[in-house]
Amino acid sequence: MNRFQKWLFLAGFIFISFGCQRDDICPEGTETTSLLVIEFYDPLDPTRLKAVSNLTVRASGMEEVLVESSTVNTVSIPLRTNENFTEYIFTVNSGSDEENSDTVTFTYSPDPEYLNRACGYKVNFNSLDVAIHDDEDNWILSETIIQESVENETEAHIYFTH
Amino acid sequence: MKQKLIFILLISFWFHSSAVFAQQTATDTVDVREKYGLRVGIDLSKPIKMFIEEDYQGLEVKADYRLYDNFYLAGEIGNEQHVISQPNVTASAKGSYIKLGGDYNFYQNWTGMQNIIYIGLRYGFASFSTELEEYSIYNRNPYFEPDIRAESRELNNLTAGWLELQLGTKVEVLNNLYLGVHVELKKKVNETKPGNFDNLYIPGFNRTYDGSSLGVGYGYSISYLIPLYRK
Repeated sequence: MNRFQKWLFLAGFIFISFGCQRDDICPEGTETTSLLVIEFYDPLDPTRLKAVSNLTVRASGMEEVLVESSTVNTVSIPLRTNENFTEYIFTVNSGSDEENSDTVTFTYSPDPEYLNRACGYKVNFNSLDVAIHDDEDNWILSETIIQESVENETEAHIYFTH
Repeated sequence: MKQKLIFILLISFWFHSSAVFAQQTATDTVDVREKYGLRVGIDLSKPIKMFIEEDYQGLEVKADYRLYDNFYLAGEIGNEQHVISQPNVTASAKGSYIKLGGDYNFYQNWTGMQNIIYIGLRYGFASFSTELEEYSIYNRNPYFEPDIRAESRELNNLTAGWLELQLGTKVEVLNNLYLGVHVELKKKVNETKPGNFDNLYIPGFNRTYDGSSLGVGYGYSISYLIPLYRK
């Protein structure tokens, strides 16, 4: 009987430790739906990052701005996972007289990928394409797609020159 | 006072010895050879779970056959249907399973009693289907509204196999009627996973764990021994 009790305790211990379901919470480090990373370069020297002064970024149809008037040389923006395009308005020198807005459409095919039971799914954006709407006074001069699929944020996906 | 204590002591000795004596005479008249036969039963934990949990249905029939003194051939067959609701995924699984193996009794009974405390080993196999009912796209950036998708996806022809260790006891409560309780520890050995999804629940195996092939379970049983011969 004593031997049995030992086994019972062991089994009980295993049972309880499984009860603490660690994998029901999506872990912080999990690579979930990626943001689109854009870097801004100098058109004269395309290897040099060039900061955009007072950049404001807002998606078309959204009241809320994503990036509010900050001087940066890289931005990370979310794409709509339930559409195959997202339109953003990039405004340079926002708040000043030289304010200039360019509208950019990112098109892609969103493919859900299963992660695990806690996180659910992420979306990978494949066949990425970008179009800057021509408004006769574009401050974004050119665009280069570096990675056609957006799966992680380790490197930039798109370069803009200005 | 002292006399009284001695008197009680003597009386208790007398009762004690008579009780022992009575027991001996009783066992003398009983056939002490142990019963061999087929024990058939059902798992009680599943109907209880059906009563408690709305999104569960299950039934399990079990049987064991005493092959040697302490060794039983044993198996279970069952059917389950269960909905798994996680914050980001809701899926249901339904299907049937069979478990085959043996039980080894390591409990030394008193003469005339046939309870067992056993360790069992099984190979379990399940054939099932899963329906992905709802899922959300995990996005750490809350700029856009959450993307929750309710498009249902049916995933058929799934199978899984596992090894299972059981530890339990079966106690004869009435003549040939047994009540049992056991715990299960399982390790998945083979599995077909649905494309771009996972098996969150496998009938007979119970819920799965991310990054681990282990599983757990338990059961209560009521079973009846059909005695075939004595030895």
